Amino acid sequence: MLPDKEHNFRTPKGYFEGLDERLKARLAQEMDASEEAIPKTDGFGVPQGYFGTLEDTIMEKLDGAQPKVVQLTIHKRYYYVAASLAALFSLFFIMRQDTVEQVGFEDLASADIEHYFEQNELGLSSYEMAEGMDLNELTLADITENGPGNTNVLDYLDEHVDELDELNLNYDELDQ
Amino acid sequence: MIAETNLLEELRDPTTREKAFGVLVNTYKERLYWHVRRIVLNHADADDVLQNTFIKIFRNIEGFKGESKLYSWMYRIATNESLTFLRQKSHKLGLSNEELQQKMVHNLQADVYFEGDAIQLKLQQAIATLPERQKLVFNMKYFQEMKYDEISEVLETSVGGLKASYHLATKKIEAYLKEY
Repeated sequence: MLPDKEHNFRTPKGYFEGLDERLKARLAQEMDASEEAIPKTDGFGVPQGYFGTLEDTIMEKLDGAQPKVVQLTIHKRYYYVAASLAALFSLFFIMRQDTVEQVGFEDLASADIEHYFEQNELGLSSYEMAEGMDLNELTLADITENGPGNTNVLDYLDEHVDELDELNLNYDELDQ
Repeated sequence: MIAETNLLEELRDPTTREKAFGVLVNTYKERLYWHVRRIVLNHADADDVLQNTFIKIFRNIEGFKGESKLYSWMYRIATNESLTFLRQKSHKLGLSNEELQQKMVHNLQADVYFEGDAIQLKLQQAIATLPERQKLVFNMKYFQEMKYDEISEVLETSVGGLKASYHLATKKIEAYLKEY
């Protein structure tokens, strides 16, 4: 009898030796009992002579399922045309994709455009700029509703005092 | 048992391919048939799946790398073909996998190629309740008497896992047969 170190329980001598074997044997015994309860055959049958003809059936199916051989030489010219068209389409789409990736005018924010005009000398006179404006598309509402606003007008006049003088305003009249 | 290496060489050689394929079909047709039949249950379906399996084997033999045995590779194709067939069938009929299994077992009663008695029919009902993997393992071990090593190679599962699956399947079937 061997003492248990922690609990003072004891086990029969050699109990742990061969425990796995005893468990395996018990499992096998249980398995045998379970298997005995299960029928040994499953009752499935096949048509008479089925296996005898199976090889031929498969071979026939295999021959029938072979893909058709198409003569390439007859349609060779068409294949060249088709290949050329495919190449052109591919090129077109690749080039189109490239242009899409480039930054366009539409991608610029209005603030950036205004900043550019402020920082760069365009070298265009008012008349030249006016020429670029399509008057046919201009409506009265564009002028009356989208006016520069009082603040902008005052700012403009403040910065362009010389031009204010050019207006030849009669200050006496204004004071009245 | 035929020598797999020689057969493989002959299958890969276009001049001997057809003859070698005939040998392959004749060697494995019955084993693969019963493997498929126990999954799909019906003879007509088993015949369809078996033919598709052999055609697939023929078409893909050049791609067979020889990492597993030819026999295991063919079993794997047959298993996949059978399970795919059942999935397509359940989808077509608008049934779940469980409902299809019940329907298949029910149809056995009117199947001229099912010669089983009441207990064998009950066995099929019990097998139908098992999860897919346990069902495969049980059929391969119990009816086909395959070794765990062989099943392991086909299903790509550890032997320990297979033993547990088989033990559970057997217990469930025993309990079902006792209860019903």
